[in-house]
Amino acid sequence: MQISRAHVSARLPASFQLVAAMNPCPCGLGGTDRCSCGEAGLQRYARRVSGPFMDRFDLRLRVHPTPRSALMDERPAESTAEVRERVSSARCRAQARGAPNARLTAEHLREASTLDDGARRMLDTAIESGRLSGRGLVKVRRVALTLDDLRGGSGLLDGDVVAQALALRTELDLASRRLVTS
Amino acid sequence: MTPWDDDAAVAAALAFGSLPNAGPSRLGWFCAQPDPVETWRRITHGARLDLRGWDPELAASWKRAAGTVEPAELLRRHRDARVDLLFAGSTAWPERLADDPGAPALLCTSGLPPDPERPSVGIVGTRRCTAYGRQIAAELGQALAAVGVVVVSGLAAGIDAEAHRAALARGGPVVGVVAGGLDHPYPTRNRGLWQDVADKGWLVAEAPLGVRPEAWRFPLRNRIIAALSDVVVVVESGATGGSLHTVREAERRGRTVLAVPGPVTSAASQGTNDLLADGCGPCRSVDDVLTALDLAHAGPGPRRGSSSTPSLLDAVPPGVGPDAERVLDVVGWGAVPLDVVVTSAGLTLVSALAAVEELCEAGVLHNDGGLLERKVGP
Repeated sequence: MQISRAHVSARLPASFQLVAAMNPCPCGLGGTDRCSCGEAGLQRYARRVSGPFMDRFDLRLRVHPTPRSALMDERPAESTAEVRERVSSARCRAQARGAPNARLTAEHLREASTLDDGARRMLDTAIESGRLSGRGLVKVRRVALTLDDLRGGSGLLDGDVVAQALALRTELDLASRRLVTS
Repeated sequence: MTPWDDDAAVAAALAFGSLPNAGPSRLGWFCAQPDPVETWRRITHGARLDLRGWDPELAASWKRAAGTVEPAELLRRHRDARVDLLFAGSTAWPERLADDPGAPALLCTSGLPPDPERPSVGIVGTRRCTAYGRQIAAELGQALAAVGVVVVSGLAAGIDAEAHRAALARGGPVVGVVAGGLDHPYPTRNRGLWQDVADKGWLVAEAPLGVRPEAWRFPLRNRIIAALSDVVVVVESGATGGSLHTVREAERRGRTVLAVPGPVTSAASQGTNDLLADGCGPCRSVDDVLTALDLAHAGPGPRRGSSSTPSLLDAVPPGVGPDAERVLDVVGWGAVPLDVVVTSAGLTLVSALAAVEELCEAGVLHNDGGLLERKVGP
């Protein structure tokens, strides 16, 4: 990573994967009727994460409390070993292209994947509506390629993977109060 | 001849209203004093007052605060901001407040009061509302505005704001009753809405300019909403909360109260469903409100589901596919996590996601980090 200022330029080693979590609101009970946060508190809290900072996250999701029915479900879920298998084979596909998808430059990304018409239209609307920045577009394409690797595809990005990638990169509206009804 | 023809007396009343803990009943006491200017002078000196609840501590805090208030300057601020000052008993005093048991002594208003002959409806509800509540509030606001009924509300976030926005958009008469001074919009993001109400309707405060909307002022504000309304509709309310306080104030004044039924699983409808269980009239559509106002048109009015002008609630936007319809079905009028939608809609992950994307792009759905909610609008 290169940092340049007026008189100094420094090259620093930086290779990391940033995973961050935050509460829905200051009291942590956002989405439930027990949330005690006021309007102003929510807005202050939402402002703590700036837009440009948020824009740099490839995946952005709200995580909801697990419903009771799921907690009490005795049926075995997919095991970590099975998931690991899926992830490492996808990772191998990416490595075979020379670098993991996160490190692909926009140019390499274009070489490694093609968008079909449906996918192209989807991204077009997302950009036009202002939902997607130039940076966001590259990130969505990277995630879509990863989803394609996970399904064992050949790099042809269709509406399915692009829709998923867009859905994994949602706008977080932390300043609004919502009651989750599920 | 009332003392309020005298600017010095008016200025003194405004100054008194700016003191800490000078709520409506104390302001009422002050305004009933034979010589407000002299009473203000006594307060600035911390003198003993013939006021219930008076103690040396209160006198000291008022004396301190009074030292920072310049009555004439305060009055000038009101005049410069074109705030009208109405005193109980004056010719411009609203008729509905004339014999009110808890009438304020003074109203600081901006804009023009609606024709008193027009029926008026208070639309109230929780700030913690759902998309369902916002939609109903908007529908009622719009429909009432369309027939010229005055929409009264408290300009809070949620139901209040939605009802007023819709009524203003339809060009209807509106009255906004606020808790603090007119120069302290709360929540601050409703500043534009406050201005619209003042420009196109009537914005009403009990407190002079400069007074913050302290928490204790909100329940007091509710009694004015109730008093200025012929019918009060509660759109959504939790089991407790300010809307139920407005209901009590309305009942105390013999005003008709209607409650909008909601899902029994929704915390935001618990209070309204409780009201219905207690015998309160239901508000199923604007027709129930008009009936309560005795304004119903001859013959049966349009009902939800059977109407030629379909309700927005039933509307599936044109051009969305069958998958999108199923997604909308599951989301209903709550805020539902994406994963619940995917599993409940009986769709594959990708087709549900594509449908969600489609609905978001069509402006029908709002996706807040994977929490889905219908967009609301009249």
